[in-house]
Amino acid sequence: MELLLLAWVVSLVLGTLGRPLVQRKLTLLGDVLSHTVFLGVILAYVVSGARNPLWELVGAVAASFLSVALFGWLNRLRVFSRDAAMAITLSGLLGVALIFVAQVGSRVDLDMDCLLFGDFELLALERAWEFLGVRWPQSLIVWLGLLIVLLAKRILCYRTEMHSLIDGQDFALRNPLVRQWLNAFDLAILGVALIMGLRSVGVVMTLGLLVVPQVFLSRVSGSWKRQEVWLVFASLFASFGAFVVSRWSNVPLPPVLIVLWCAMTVVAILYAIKTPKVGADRPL
Amino acid sequence: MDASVLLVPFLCLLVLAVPVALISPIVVSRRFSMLGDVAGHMAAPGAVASAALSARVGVEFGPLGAIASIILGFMVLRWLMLRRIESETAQGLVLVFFFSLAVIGMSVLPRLGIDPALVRRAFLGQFLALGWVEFASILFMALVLVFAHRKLHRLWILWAFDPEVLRLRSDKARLVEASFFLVLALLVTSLVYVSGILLVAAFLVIPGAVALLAPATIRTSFLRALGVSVVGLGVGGVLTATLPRVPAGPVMALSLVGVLVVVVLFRYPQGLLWRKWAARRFETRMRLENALKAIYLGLESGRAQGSFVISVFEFAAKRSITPVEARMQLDALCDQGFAYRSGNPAVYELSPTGLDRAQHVVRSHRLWELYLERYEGIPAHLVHAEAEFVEHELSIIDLLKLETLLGLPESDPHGRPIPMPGGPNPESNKPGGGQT
Repeated sequence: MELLLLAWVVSLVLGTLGRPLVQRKLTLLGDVLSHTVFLGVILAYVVSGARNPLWELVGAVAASFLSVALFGWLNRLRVFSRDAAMAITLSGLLGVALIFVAQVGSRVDLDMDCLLFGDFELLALERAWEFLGVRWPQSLIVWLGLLIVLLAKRILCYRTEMHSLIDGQDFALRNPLVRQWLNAFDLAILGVALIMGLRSVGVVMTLGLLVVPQVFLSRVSGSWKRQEVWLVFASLFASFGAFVVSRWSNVPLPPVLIVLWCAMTVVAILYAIKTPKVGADRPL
Repeated sequence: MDASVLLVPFLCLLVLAVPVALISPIVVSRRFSMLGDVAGHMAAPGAVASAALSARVGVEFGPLGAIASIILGFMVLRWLMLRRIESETAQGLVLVFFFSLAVIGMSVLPRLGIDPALVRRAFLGQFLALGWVEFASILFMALVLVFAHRKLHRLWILWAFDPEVLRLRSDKARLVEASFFLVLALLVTSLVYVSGILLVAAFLVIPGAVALLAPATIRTSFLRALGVSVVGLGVGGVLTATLPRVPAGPVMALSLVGVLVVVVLFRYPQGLLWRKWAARRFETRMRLENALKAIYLGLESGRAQGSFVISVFEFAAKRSITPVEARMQLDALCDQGFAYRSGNPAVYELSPTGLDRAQHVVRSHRLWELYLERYEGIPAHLVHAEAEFVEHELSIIDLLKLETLLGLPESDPHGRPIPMPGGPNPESNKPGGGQT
């Protein structure tokens, strides 16, 4: 039960966080971030000498900011295209991280497989509280916390965020401070979600849950409000399907979840009557 | 480490540098830089399937599975892009889908009696374990790629820069695209052997990105990319062989990043350090010239007393700065030989060189104001700010051309006299003015 709930909440949180990335055509920046947070994690190990969740979070958020700063700086140089800047950021920071892993990985309790492929099944075995007849593992509580933060943000600054995403440069020129705060907030939440994602579903699956639901949602509805409703039910459907398939065939749940999302996306692409206009419910 | 052990890996690197140099500029020009990373991940399910089939059938499939998997991935990518999914999103989608398949496959491998660690090791690269069989595969791939490049490079480049033009000019546009993706699949598979999945992007992007930093012909960009590949991969290979416990892929990727950083910083004259140095020089020159101009204008307006002589306080008042700053600026003029201290320590005098430079700046300023008013139609009260910047940029030849164009004018739009080079000093313009 808690695994199903966890899969649902992870899909919801990452699916919501993926919107700014996909809207700003920065999908592969998600790939870069989900790889470069390795550097933060391994440096957290080096500093704390053991697996310390708090240091991991700090390291991951710092690494996210570092990656975005480096990518932004390379972009501002105007000598590389945006995708080349991404590839250079990825290569540089991931290269450093992997060398650190090779040098200090044996001294600390670092399981590379856990970071690459996630530890989803084991999360249900960690320390948990009983409430309403359900076990609530620590990870599930953190994911729920993230979901509550995102919901609060959705309620408090929906219109601002929508303007920021749709108007882009215009919004940034008119409200530079608001845009910067929104970006910093998004990035911090993304950093926390990425490190939780690394532990839960691994690097690539985290990217998958950031990107694939957005493509699916963009094909099923043009209204952001409707997309949110779709996200809730489609996540539940995909999580339940993945749970059943993974129990039945004895394979890990996260990749099955991604494959199911991909299948739903292909169906949406094939059967969408026309490409919906993004931001149809723009508040103007 | 034994040198004979390193022979084959280094030969592999040397051979790989050529196809990397050929393909990398095209990948970067087509804005497919992250495709290396995506293709590296697309190879994973093929590698897993290949391992499973080899165990079942008893025939070694080697890299065939990875190549087939990448080609299939490119087909899916193209299908998604044709359905108006944005390129980056489509790449992300394909990446996660194929890697998810690989993870599912790896969870099945133990049931077939195969150790998943073997496949996982291939994911992370095995540079030092490369043998003659791998060398032969890489050499074959390189030969195929060089041959294809000789035949098709013009069409590939056209496709990279403007696919629409290619579609209009050639009825084989799809074939050109397919051939490029085919050779890219071969190259990525070879790179996965050396660097692992995670860092293919570095190999595929950095040589091309460096080669395209400056305008170049196809041949020059290839030679530049080859130079970067050889230096980057060579340094990375040497570091991997000499340093203990360092993985090959990341070290080589970081060597390539190091080459890129060096080029971005030190490339003449567009490197960041050169630009910064030039900007600082320009700023210093501008400050000096503005100081000279202030002295000259002071003399011209008759506020300063005596020929080419100005006190620290007059200069400070003229430039709206503190006397301490004024003294520092005047001392800087003395250091450059544009002025010298007269008997009074608070009084400075312009040297002939300083007077020449000051006249040049003022002349540039006024001629440019006149040009803006006459030829650009800008009102006289708006031309000053623009001329403030341009006065430091014009050479003597520019001024002569400008003067000829304007018909040897004598005054600017505000009615102030335009000084002549080597002409009389401002004091002489006034009744009873002195000579130098």
